[in-house]
Amino acid sequence: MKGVLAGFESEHALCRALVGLAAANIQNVDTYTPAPLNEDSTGSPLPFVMFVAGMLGFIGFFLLMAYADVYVYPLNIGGRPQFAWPAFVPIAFELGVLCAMAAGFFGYFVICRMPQLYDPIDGCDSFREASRDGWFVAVRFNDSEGVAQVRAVLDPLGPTSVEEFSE
Amino acid sequence: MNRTGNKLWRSLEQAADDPEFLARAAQEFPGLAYALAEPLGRRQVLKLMAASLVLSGLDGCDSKFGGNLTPAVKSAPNIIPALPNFYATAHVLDGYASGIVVKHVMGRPVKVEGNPHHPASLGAIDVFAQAQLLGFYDPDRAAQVSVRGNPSDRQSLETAFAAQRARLVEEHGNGLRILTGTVTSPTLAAQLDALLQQYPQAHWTQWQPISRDSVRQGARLAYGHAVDVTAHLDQVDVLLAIDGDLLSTAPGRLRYARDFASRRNPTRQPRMSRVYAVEPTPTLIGSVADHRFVAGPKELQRIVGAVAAGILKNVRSTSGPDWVSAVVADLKAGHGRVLVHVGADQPAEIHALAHAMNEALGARGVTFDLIDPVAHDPTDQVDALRTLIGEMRAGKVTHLLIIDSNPVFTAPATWGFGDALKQVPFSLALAGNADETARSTTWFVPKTHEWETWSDARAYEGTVTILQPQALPLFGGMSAHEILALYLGAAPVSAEEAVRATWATRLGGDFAMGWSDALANGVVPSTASAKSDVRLRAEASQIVPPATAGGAALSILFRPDPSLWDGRFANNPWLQELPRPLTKLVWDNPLLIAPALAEPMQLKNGDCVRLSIEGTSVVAPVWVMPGQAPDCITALLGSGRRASGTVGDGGGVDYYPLTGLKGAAVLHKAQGRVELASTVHHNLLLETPPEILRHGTLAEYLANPQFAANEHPEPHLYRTVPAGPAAWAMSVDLNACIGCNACIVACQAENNIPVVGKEQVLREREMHWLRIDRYFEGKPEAPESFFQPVLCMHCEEAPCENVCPVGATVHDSEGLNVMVYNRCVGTRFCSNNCPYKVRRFNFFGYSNEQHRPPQSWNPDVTVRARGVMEKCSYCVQRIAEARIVADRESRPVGEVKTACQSACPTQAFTFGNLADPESEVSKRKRSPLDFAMLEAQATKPRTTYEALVRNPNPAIKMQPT
Amino acid sequence: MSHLAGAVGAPTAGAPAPRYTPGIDDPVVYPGVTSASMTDRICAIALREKPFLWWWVVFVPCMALTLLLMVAIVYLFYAGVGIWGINWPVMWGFAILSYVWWIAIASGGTIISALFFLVRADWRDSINRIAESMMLFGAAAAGVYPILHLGRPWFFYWLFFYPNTMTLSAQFRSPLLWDFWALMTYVLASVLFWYFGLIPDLASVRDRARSPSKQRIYGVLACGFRGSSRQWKHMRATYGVMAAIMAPVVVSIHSIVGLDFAGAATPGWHSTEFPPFFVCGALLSGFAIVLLLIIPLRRLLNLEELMTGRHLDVLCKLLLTSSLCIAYAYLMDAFTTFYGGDHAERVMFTERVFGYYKPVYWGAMLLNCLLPQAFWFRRLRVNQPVIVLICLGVVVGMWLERYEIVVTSLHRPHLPSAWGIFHGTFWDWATLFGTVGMFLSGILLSVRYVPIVSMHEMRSLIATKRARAVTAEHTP
Repeated sequence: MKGVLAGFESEHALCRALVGLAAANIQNVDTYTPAPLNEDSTGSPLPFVMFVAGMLGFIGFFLLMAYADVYVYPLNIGGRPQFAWPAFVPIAFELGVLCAMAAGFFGYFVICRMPQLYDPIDGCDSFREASRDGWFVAVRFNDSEGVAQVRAVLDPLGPTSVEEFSE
Repeated sequence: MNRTGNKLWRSLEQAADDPEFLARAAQEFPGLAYALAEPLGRRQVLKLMAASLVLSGLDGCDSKFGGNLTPAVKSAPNIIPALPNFYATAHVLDGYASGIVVKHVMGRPVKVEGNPHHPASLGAIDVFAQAQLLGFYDPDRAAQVSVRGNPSDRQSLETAFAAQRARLVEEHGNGLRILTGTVTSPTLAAQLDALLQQYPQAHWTQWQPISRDSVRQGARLAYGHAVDVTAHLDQVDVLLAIDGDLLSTAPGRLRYARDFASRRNPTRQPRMSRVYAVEPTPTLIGSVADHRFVAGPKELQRIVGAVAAGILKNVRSTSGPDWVSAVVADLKAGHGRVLVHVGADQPAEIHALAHAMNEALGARGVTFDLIDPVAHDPTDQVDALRTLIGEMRAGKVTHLLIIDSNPVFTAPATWGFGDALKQVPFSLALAGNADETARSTTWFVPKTHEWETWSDARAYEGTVTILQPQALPLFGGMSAHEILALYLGAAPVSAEEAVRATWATRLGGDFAMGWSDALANGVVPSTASAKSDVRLRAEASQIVPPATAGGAALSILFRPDPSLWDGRFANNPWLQELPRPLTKLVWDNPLLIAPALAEPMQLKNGDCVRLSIEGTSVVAPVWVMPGQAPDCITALLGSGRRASGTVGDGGGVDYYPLTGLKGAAVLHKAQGRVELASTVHHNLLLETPPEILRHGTLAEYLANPQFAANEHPEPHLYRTVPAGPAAWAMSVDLNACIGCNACIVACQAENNIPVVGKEQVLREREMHWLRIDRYFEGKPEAPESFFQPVLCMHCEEAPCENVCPVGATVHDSEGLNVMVYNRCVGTRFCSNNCPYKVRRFNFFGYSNEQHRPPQSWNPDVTVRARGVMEKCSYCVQRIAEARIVADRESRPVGEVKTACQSACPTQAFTFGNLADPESEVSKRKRSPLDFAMLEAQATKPRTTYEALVRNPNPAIKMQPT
Repeated sequence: MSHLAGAVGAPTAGAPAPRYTPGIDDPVVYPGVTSASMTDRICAIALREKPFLWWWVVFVPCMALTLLLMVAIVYLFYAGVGIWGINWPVMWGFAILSYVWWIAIASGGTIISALFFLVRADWRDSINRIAESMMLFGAAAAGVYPILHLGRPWFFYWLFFYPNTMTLSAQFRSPLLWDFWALMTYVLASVLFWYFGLIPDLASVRDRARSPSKQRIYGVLACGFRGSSRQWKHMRATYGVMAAIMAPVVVSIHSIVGLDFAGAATPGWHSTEFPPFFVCGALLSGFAIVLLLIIPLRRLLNLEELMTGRHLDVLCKLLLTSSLCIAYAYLMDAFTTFYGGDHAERVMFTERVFGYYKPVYWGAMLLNCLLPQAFWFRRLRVNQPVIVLICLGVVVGMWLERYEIVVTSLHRPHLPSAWGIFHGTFWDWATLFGTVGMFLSGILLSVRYVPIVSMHEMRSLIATKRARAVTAEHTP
């Protein structure tokens, strides 16, 4: 398994490179950028996951409290009704929120397969720039002639750097 | 012990053959002679000595108690574990008895109740008797006979005494003097008489600092004989109390309070009594009177003169204020059912005049009776003590016996009792602890506590109670009877033998039967004093009150401290921390001065002043007392003890040095101030908010009986009615409450409430579950005052319960707002949310720092830990007890009496089952006066009040200024 | 422009950078600042070998105060809450009022970070990290109190509801229990939110780090974030939702704190206006503290091109707004008291305004309502000394307001017989200043080791600005 990492000095340049690669019908393209690229903001399942977790947390804890007060410990508290549902809302809300936050946080790590402390791409010297202002595209492939094909597409676009990596 | 043993051994080595030493040693160690007689190994002698050390007990007091000890493994007869036993006895204060019943659990006294059979109690109990529990367990009580301050023991005492007795016998008691307090005990009286017979030259002196001489003199002046007066307040329609002490210090005050209250609630009595009080300093009866007139000592003389003139001579005197004529008219109108009563602090002439007036008003036999004196040989105690001191000075006194009296502290300093005492070669003090006197006599013998010995005493109207011991002596010691017996005969007589001897002849019929009945009931039947048929002397009505008492511009009134009496209770933490009825002060006794006196001198509460008479001066803080007459200062005696124990020493100021001085008092502002701990932090109110305390006049009540009732709010959003078989509730009758504090101490004793000390009270952390709120209303010179007992209201919709995050306070099925101590985490939200502020918090581990041994706690009540909230539980332990009894007898739960209720002299509290329409509490709650405090909070309290109704004389428009 | 770039681009702080006096119409970020220079600058601060001298000068006393806090806590657990000034009528004292005060400060941070993210306020990007640190350590300081406050702190876990052998559960009707859970949620959520936004910047630091140890530490903390398209995509989506959740959470936490009082029947507390009123208070103190933090930091760390006059201007305007809300709340407080006509309420309020504690009331009035009015003037909104003074005043004033709400209300209950006076003891003050020290130590540590500015958000901001500039050039 080998790959090519090419850096560009601006988002524009990177986008042109991506267009080129798409035109050449090259698969396994990934980008590494200092800031999110503009188009990819939609299509994440995490918001929905968080919503579901939050609702489950809210309903679950609400029912737990209702169960505790009405069935398990039916105490006479200040002559108030056993099923004091308005009193259950705040805690249920808070715990629902906690569930949602946790779901989002840990869901992110799951969905991004993090933490992944090592990646062969780290071997490339120029890659450090990815977290500064270098805009990178990486192409991974199995057969060796892919390298030439990719360079053929990218070199004309004037990358700041082109490196090969392999594991 | 080992060290002592070795020391003795070494000294024996040297002195083994000194006969004199052997004689002394033989006393100390029976068996030592035998040990030394034949040569023995050191070990064996040590063993013998160790044994005798153990037997005689190094504490030096005798351990000769009657009967055997019963090991706890076999439960003693009639002691069932966890079930209480009750034994009747009496509490004796300055000679006068009031019946009590002591509650024992597993043989340990844990609570005191009043004795319903006793005429002076009728089941009620005062603060002193209640607090005797701590007095009994007081760790500071003396355990050691001492001679000139050095530890000694019973044997040496008897040896020394034997010599003395021999001399006294042959000299017919020349130089023998005996000093006691007032004596009503028939046994003690008999012993004293016998003693005086046996030693003709001897003299017996009575002395008590809280003097009632003027009462006795007044009676003599009026009737020519010594007679006692007993009042029947339940018969009184119109009462004129002149500096009255009926409810505060007079013997029989508990009974008087009950009778008084029986005429104060218009919903229960057709005719409500009317009370006028004229007084220089606020008293309890003044605070509950319908009209309270402030009059300085001198003005008081004039007023009494005017009233007397009006009643006796029918002349309308102009010397008194305008209301006098109205009062006189009222008294005359109520002919036969009126009473003029004078406090013990007024001069004899005024007492005599009062007698004359009462006779003239035809009250004798109706509102008061004359009886043969209850005290044995009533004398003029002040003169008696002065003569005694004179004799001591002159060296005529060679042998002085002081029984339970503390003249070194309480006698006026200028009389110099302390110095005179130094002239007495042999003086012996019998006292509960090593007090000021006991420290300056040659011999000091610990006195057994009232609960540890046999005795007898008479009530204010003569009825005798036989005091039976409640426990074996905790610290050893001797009783008065035992020590007198030493004088009477060589053979020791136990207190029980002495008391039995007295009653062997007097108890009619079968002695054994009568004896056990007397012990069981706490009263000896038909022993009340006979009515006296003395006639009023003609000249009595001619008496004119002394023009000016002392003639001073500024006079001092010396009064007993409401909690410490003459100082004998100074070492009692409950009483020290008991908020005084009117000032709500604890742990202190500042001078009470009038606002009019404080203002020109810019004196604020706690500022120090120098008060001096004839060169003697005392520096003390002041307390501005609304309703105090401007030309007099009230000094409460009893504080400033020097040798009372770890609790009482050094607290407050000792005013005894100023007593007995006739000169004019001078007041100067002094440097510094004292932080005074009072449990109320608000001043005089223009008007007590009606949602808190409702009061009105009889006229208003008759016009509209519902005048104080709650305006009933709309029905509630929700309501959970507790499902239990009983619904516990309480009604507090504000007409009955006289603010005497009996309930507070009873609650403290019953519920293991800790004492927190002055520093914590200053930080507002007192722990009393039940408090009596005192409100002053109107003008500071002559305010109206109100008492309101406040305890947990046990709201049906309790605000405290909703806010507790852990459910540590919840409602039970019978409507109790229960506090689960073990569940409490101490967020204190419940207290913030309690409109009545009845919850108390253990800011520190108070219960670990109490001045009492563990066995003195009430085993039925949890002792609360640090960081836990606590509050009144309606004595839930008593409810549980009643429930168990009811279950056993398979009947609905019956009557429960809370601690405050059973203690209350005026039956202000009524507790019971609201579900039973016939229960007393249900009846009281149907009273038109019934109202709930802070009703607008919609807490539905189970504790409600009956509004206060006063019966002012319409002829007297407004309070005089 | 080049000199700016040079100044900002310089990776070390040694190089003397030109000073900027903030102007009312400064840009959000100076044009010369590039993603590269900004990233280098921020990472240089985090990666600096030896801390600045000023850092030690501030840090040491803060740690001393933190130590004092530890002593106070140990003694408290040993002796009991009696060491505080609380008493019979005033059962709640410094513990509760300082807790509310800290929660307000923390909430302010969350609102800046979360709420203004949602409204896409560009000025928020350079200060949201500071605001979040403030939220984090403010919540930590607040979190100390509820347990210390308990009479028996070792039983704090009874506030959880869990199956137990005592056949008891927590009591869900108690606002205090809501508060307990709200606080826990808030602290945990704050940590997650803060750390989540931090991950890409940790990656940047990792990639700048020279020494292997720091590479490892930051490498582990960054969890292998490389800025791949997948990571960015989910990060954006998740962070957005998190922000959308944090905003209501912070409103809820402070409303519930308000309910601790509004839920009680005590005079001075029993008021429905408390929850919104408390949230306004949170905003006020939040903005004040943020200003107090960025004004020295932007200078000491040469960040004046990133935190410009525009930021000061905006924050001052917001501070003024929340101050006006507070003033309204105070007025309504007075109005409802007398309109309601409850006797005890009136007595209490009169005491509050004219009684023993009147300095507290008027102090709060002056510092929270009057002084901030200075921000009506444009020039004062960028005048740093004035801003610092007013903000300090607001911080004190907000504490006074809590004092007035907690203590003054409690010291005049319904029954005159239960009236009383409260004074803080040495231990009360020690605990308060101890938490202040703890808060500042935390902030300093975060300044020292954590990227002080959210670099990835700044990069997007700079990129968009650059793009706009470019398009501006290309359009005739």
